[in-house]
Amino acid sequence: MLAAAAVPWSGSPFRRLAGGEGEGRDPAFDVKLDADALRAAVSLVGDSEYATEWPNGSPLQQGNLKAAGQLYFAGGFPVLERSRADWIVSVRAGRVVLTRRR
Amino acid sequence: MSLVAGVLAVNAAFLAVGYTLVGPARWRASWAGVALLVGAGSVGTLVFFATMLGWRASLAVAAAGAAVLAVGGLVFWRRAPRTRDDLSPARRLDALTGAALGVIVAICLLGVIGGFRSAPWLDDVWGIWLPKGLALWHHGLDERLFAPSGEYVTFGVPDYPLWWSVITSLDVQAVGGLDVRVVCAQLALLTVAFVGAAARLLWDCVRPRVLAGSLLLLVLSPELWRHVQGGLADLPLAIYLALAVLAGARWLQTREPFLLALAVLSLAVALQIKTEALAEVAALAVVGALFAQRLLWGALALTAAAPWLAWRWAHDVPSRAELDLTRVERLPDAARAVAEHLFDPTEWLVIVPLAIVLALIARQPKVLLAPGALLAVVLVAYWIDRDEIDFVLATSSYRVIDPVVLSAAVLIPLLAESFLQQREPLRENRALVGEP
Repeated sequence: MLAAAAVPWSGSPFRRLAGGEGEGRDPAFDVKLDADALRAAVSLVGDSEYATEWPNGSPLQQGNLKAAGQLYFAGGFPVLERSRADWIVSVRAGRVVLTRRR
Repeated sequence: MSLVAGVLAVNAAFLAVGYTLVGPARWRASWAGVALLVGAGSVGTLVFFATMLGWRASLAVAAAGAAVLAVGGLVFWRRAPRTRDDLSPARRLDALTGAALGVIVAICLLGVIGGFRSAPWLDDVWGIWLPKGLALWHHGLDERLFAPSGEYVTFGVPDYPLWWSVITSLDVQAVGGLDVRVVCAQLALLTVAFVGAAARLLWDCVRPRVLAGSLLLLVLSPELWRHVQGGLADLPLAIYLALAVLAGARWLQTREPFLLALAVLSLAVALQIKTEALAEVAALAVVGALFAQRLLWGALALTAAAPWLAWRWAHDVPSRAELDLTRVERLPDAARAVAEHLFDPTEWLVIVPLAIVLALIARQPKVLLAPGALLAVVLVAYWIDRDEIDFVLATSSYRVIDPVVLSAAVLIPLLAESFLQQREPLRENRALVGEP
């Protein structure tokens, strides 16, 4: 059983039980989202107020970005109105962009 | 600290606290499952309550809470009347039973490895549950984030209690950086602890072969480990509700106060995990009253819901469950969807049908009231929910049944043992009159 779990790419139930090929420390987003860029922005956002936006993004894309903000920028405060935010975390052309407003 | 070291360190602390609470008579390796669940449940609940008083859900607060609980446990057991030491009879294991227990251990080991290697596949986990825990660490229970304000982005399902968020937040802090795999790792450890706790609580009253077969059925269920790797809060809720059912059932057999206390504590912890636990604990309290002719202890457990309800009331956090009894037509669809998951052998094997059959042939159908009450709560929740029924069934019916399944799973060995004991005198009588 343990051997079956250890065989790579076997696809056996025991392999799946042991976590398959293994996953990383970041979430499996439902959309394409650069976790490394989000991590890099954490120290900049800090404990300030921020807003997320995905121009022309689908509800799923916007929802994932909002949730990712709450996960990575847990030290900060997500605000509803862009005008109140110190930082804007947006996704443009597939890239995470951090913009300081004040 | 690394992922593995951090999560194991937190759980070692839970285990140590748990051992102080279960008492010196149970300071044995076989009680580790119970101790871990008691420790995690108690520390998580205390830290959650502390956040309502303005504290942050930090490792320091958790350590202080753990110290208070540990000292309290030690003082209590020092002053408590000395009970008999836990001297369980040595049980002889035949080869088949030994092999089954070995397989259970191997599967649990793989399940824990899988937990540490999996990122939760359910987006609610990384999008709501864990972020709430991280916010509790950074800001405490800040109403700007946890109550609708119109200015800040509020977390989803703000009415949900926060035990699971607290526990996973402590794991992240111990690891030293954001790693969503802590959720699955923590859930895997709690699941294995539950298997161990069930084995410990049933060891004295169920023959080893029956116990091994029952637990094998549970750990071989694909859905159990899929839920572990999903990080679902439904699973820890199910674990504590099923632990309460098992401890309560054993208390009815033995009247040992420790088992009653364990049942009450488990119900109290369940109340801190998900909103529906309030109805589920109330339902189990009523069922318990039918068996034990007393409602006091169930009512006592229910009071553990008061702090969070009070905080929600004080901060105008709305409930998602709005009573709308007019749409009875939702019930058949809900019953069909739930039954499909309960009886699908590719999900939970034959746990639920086996529990039903055993209850009938052991002539103890009343026992089914416990999982039945939990099932009734699930169906009523779908009935009164206002969201589109197909959507809510597709996104939740596979997981909200976890308490039903796990409570059925812990009853299987008790029912099987009861059935076998009923047959034994019959066989002896037949032998006396010369039947084969």
